[in-house]
Amino acid sequence: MVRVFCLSYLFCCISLASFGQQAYLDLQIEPSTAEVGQQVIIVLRTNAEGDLEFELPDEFIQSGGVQSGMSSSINYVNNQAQVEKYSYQKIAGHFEEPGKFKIGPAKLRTPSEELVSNSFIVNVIKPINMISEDPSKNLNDPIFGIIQQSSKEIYEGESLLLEAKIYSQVDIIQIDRFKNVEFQGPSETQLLHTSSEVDRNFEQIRGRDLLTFKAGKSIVFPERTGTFEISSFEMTIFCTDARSMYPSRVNIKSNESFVKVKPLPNGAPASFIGAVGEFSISAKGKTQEVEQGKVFELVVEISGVGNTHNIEAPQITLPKGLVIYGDPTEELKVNFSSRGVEGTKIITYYIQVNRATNVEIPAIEIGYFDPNQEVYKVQSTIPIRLKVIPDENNALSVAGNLEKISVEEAKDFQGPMIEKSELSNSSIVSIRVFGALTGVPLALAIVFGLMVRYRKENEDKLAIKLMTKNALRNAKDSLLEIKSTSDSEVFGRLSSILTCYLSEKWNCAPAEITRELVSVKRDEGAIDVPISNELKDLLDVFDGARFGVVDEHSAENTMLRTEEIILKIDKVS
Amino acid sequence: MKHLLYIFFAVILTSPAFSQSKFEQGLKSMAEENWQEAITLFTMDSDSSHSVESEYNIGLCYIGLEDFNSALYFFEKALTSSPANEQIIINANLSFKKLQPEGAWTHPYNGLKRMILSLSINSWIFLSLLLTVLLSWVIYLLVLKEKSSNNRNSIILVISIPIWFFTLFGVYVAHNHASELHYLLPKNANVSSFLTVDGIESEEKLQIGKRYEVITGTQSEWVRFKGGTNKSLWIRKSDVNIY
Repeated sequence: MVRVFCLSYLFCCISLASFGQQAYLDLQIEPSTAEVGQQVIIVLRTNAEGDLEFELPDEFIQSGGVQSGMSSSINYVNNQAQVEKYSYQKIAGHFEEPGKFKIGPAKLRTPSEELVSNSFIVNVIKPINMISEDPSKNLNDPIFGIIQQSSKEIYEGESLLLEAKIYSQVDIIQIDRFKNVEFQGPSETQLLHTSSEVDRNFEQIRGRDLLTFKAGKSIVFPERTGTFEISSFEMTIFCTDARSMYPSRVNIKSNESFVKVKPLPNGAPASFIGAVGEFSISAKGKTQEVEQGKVFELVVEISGVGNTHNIEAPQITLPKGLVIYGDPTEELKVNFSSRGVEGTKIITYYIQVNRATNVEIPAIEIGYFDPNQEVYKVQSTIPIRLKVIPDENNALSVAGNLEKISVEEAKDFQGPMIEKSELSNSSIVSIRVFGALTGVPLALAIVFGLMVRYRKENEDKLAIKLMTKNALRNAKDSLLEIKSTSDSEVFGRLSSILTCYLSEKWNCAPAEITRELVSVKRDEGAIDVPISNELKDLLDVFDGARFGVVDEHSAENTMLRTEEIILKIDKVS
Repeated sequence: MKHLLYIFFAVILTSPAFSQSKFEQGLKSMAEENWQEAITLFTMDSDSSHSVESEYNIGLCYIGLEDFNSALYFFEKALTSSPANEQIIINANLSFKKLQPEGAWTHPYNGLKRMILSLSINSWIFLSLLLTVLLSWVIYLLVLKEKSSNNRNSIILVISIPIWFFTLFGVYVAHNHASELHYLLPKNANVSSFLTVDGIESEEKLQIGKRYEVITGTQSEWVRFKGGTNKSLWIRKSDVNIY
């Protein structure tokens, strides 16, 4: 059945007050997720006047008429209060079938423009089965109350639905002083129905018709594990009394109940985010390209039913060159329903892109526990490709600090090389020159080493040789001096030259040069016999000359003999 | 005056500064995704003075043109001069995977060669000369038979001789690496090879993306290479990219 509202309203009083305000048409629906038969309230609000066109789905059963009126609110803008006046229409009703129903948009045709409101999807779900104590055991009482709860055992993080249900065998006129059921433990509780919203019905129990109604439906999220009590609800009921013309007043108190909150089983995946229920994840970038060095916003949406309001932000693994910039922001778009918290948690990550090449943000994974199937499940997004616009200045500054990515890890081509190196591949020397440069020092080391070693080993011999050479030279020099001068003491000087030479040659003192030493040297083989005899003869001549028994004319002959003997001795040694 | 002007422009055009500007122009063309122009500029830059960076960037330009075979050739060519550069290795690997998704790319040069080539030939020459001087000094001292320091010198000699030979080997490898042709890559799929120069065609067709070892490349039009079964085959130079 299509019910079309074509309503014409004249909003005359608000025209002046709304002058200067932007015209609007607003649609509000509470709740957006409802059980079959649960009351849904639709409110339309506007500050403009005109013809309203608003269509409701066929499945929506309106209860009562349309409530309309005018109201005002005070808005503070820049510390200045502004009074806003508006008119509203309120429609109450319920859905009789489960499903998703679109409500709106409403249209308001004003003389100058057409205003269009937002629209809503109302998710209508089957009523949650509630378990309760057996009412047939209480039929002795005319009125009794029993706590209804969605489960006796739930998992940590799972929601528990509680409700008060009253059974009456008499007609009820009014209820008063309602004290709802309470979960006796640390928890987060959200009232879904107020005590004024009652669901009245008739049930047959053991052949008796009982009037029943429910009140105070609430959803509880226990915060700890263990067994917890659920305290009874209480209320005062005014009902008809056949024995009196006045209604009688009855105070009732329900039973008490309990619930066991179990810890989650082992084997949670690494990506578990504390979610219990049923969830999905999606991710998208606010932009598809970003400049190098700038911040990119990655929006992750986790939608589902369960403890959506309490889930943690998933961990994201970023490729090299991307870093999380600050803390992610979280936005919750949820509503409480009998299934739990339904809606979406939007997490925005701020990621700084410090690389010059395109990049792929890997899939983001979440793990959650499905209490219906009692298993952990994993959902993930698809990877997001991000185009990076290189920043030339930034690229130059980071060029020397290229990312170290292993070959197997790399999934994207690396960016360009933006700086030229000055390295040269040509060698500074040819291979021949190199051969010479390495061979020559080694050869020289060997040659010089051997030379120095030889010199060291023959040091004494060389010294003697040098001394002998010196002695011979000195002797020759002295002989030349004698030749150029006509010295009367030539024999004495010749004797001195010979003894000096012999002393240097044989490494002894001049006084030690005697005939005996000459004989010894002969015996040692340093001189041969003729030289020995000649030496002794010369020594005799010198001794004779010292005592004046020598011919002065033989001086020249003696000089020659001395020179000859020195040369002979030098040759021999 | 006219001659002076010619000399001036010749100096400017052949100067490294001019070459660098070609490189920068190439980068700019790359940023504008003008791949062909960038390839031309990088080629000019590389021709004027051999540049790993230009060869690598040419490879990237071919990626932009989605010519992964040419890209692979330029990346591998760049690896000849800079075999340990991970940036080039990654891109060569990815290019190869584009050509043969199931295949696995291998580095053209083995680990020892890569280690040797991570140093320039001049570094090896410098190292070997340094060790030659050290060795010469130690040998000199040992020849002198200085008893006091003989043991110490013998130890130094035993340690330094293998290192010295290794540096000589490094010089040899680096020198040969720079002067020889190493591999060839076919320009197209199923390129024909020949048993002799311009002679009988071999059954072996060259696979795109596959690297073949060059045996000799001294002939002007033909190159001899190792075929798939290590057979010596010939191929036209115009059909392959050689590095």
